[in-house]
Amino acid sequence: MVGVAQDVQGEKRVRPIVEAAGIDYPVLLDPDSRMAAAFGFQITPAGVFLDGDGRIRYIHGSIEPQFDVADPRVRANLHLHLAGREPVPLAGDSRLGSGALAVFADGAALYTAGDVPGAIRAWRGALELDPDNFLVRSQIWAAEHPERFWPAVDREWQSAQLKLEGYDKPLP
Amino acid sequence: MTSLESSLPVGLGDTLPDFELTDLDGNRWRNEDLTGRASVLFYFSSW
Repeated sequence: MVGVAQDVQGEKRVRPIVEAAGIDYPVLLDPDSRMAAAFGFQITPAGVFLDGDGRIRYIHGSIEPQFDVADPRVRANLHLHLAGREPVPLAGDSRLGSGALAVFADGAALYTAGDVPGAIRAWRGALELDPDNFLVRSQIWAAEHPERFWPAVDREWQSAQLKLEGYDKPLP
Repeated sequence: MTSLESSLPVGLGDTLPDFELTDLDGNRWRNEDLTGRASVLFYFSSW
């Protein structure tokens, strides 16, 4: 297992959750989500299964069920894959190739350069491309309202914020 | 919005696009570091 952390703030946000969760495998930092953009993921967590040649054998990017390693179906797929067998598809592939994460990467460059308002403008543009993309929406929220995310994620606030933003589906 | 699956850069059977990322310990990772045995990439975030 190799983690790929999506927080645009990088190490300072990722290390605490890695330590709190007791994660003992390597964790790569992907602050501009370029490595996720190849898959068009709309949420985290998500999973990509690679064989020994580095070829993609299975992609789990669905919202229901999420790629939650505590879910027995997900665990079963992990065991199948590591035993060299085919995972069982669990849901329709909900990935969208909207390009939203590519636009997100442009905004991440601005964020890293210290231009937070510019970054947020770019990310809002990404969200217009793909309103269902919670990688993008959550990064905007976390940049604008860090107190709702650290030290703890406030899902009640997120649900209310979704409604304020005119989004009519539930928080995934 | 265009559709969709076809516009994604990668799919089953493909290799990952070239990447170079740093891990929390400062080590650099590239595509070849994910070969040699089956592995799983776990995309996550603090939010």
